This record gives sequence, C-alpha cells and structure tokens, in this order.
Amino acid sequence: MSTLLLPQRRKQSISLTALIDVVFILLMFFMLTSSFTKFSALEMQSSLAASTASDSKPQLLRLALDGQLSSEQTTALTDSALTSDFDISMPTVLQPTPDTQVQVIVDALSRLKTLGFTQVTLGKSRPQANLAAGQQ
Amino acid sequence: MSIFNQAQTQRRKTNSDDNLIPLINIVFLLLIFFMIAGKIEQIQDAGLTLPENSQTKPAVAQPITLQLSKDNEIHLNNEVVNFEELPNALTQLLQEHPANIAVRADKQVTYQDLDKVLDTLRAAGFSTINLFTLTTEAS
Repeated sequence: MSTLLLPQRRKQSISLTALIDVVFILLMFFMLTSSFTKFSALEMQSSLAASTASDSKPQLLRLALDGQLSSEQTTALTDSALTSDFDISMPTVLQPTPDTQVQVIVDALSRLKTLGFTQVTLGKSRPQANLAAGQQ
Repeated sequence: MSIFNQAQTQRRKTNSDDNLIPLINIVFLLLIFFMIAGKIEQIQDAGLTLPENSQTKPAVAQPITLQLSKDNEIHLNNEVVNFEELPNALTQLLQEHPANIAVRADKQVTYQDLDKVLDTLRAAGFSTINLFTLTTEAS
C-alpha cells in the first residue's frame, strides 16, 4: 500500500497560490515599512570643542531674518565678499536674529559650507535691540 | 470515467498555475525593488517638517535624537520631555552613549527656541551636534 502511495505523492506539484500569498505578504511589509526620504546632517561643533581647537578669536557673521549675511562693517555680503574678507579655515560664529527660522539658518550654514568654511558654529542669538542701537 | 475526470482536474490545476506565473514575476520584481531601493527605518517624526537642504552629506543615525516641534514640544528619543527636565534626562543618556546627538528641528522653529535647546545640549557636554535636514535635489 505504502509503495503504491509514494510515487503518487512525488508527482503532485506544489501549488503556486501558497507561494504568492507569502510573496504578497513580504511585498506589503516592504512597501509599508520602507521609506525613500534621505536625510542629511549639518555638523556643528559645540563652543566647548571649538575653543579647545583654536585659541584665536572667532570671526563673527550676522544672519538677518531674510537670510542675508552681514559682518560688523558691511551688510548683505556676497559670496565673493565672504571668501575675500573672511578666512575660511578660521572658526566662524554665525549669529542669527532671535526670530530667524531654522530653514533660513540651514540655508546660511550650507551656503557657508559650500564656500569652504570649515568650522562654523551657531552663536548666541543677537538681540534685536542691540542691532537697532548699532545702526543708529 | 473516474480516471478521465482526475486527469481533467489535474490539467485544469496546472493551467491555472501557469496563468499565475507572470503575476508572480511582477510581484517578485516589485518585492526586489522595495527591498533594495527602500530603507527600513523607524518613523519618528512627530509631525515635523524638517528644513530642506541640497547638500549631499548623508546623515548618520545617532543614538540620541532630540526633536523640536514648531509648538516647542521636545521629544528626547521619542519621549516627551519638559524643557526643565531636559538637563537631567540628557545627563542620564550621556552616561550610556557617546557624546553625539541628532537634533531634528521643525523648519518653522525660531532660533530663539532652538538656541535654548542648543545651550542646554552644550552645557550637558555634547561635543558634536548634528542638525538633521531633508535632502532635496540641488537646483
């Protein structure tokens, strides 16, 4: 009896429906869990680490609400002015106004990075009152 | 008669399986695409819209993640933390992990609020702060 049954079983092929079920479940899992967004990171050394790296006084850059960069002497610095007036290898402190949005800060940081500034940190926010007093 | 019937049903079965093969091919292709192109990661954006950036330096996942929403709600490793409790929570985490932290701030957060958090992070002793952004195509 058993010898008769064995060859019959071998002939039976596995149904593909079960395979499709499993593959569909795998597909659903990967479709729902995978994400295609890419993140990038802007690295900032904290002031603690920056002060140990260099004893020299950092150069200050001010960031206005509209994203314009200015130094103590000039306002609305262009890319060429930034590279000629500033030493890109020196530690640089970016001082945004308190109401500046993070998007504007990120834009300014990446602009400085593409210009070649290596050690950029965010400084204390510059009070609006001081700016008004400085302009008068 | 019964043998004839069996043969007929078997033929039907194999025929229906044959029809499924193109479907399986496509499903397999889709599966391979999602497995290779997608990246499985924990979704941890508490309604955040990260600032956009065209830089290509990929972000490295950090053991400590701080999220700052536009309502100034702070999430430290997916747990809501008050600003007052933040220093204590940070020193506890800092003992377990190396001194790097990822900051995911909403793009509408003002520097006033971000600065307070960054100050706390510096005071807690973090040497490198990674500000996370969404990568967009360079225009």
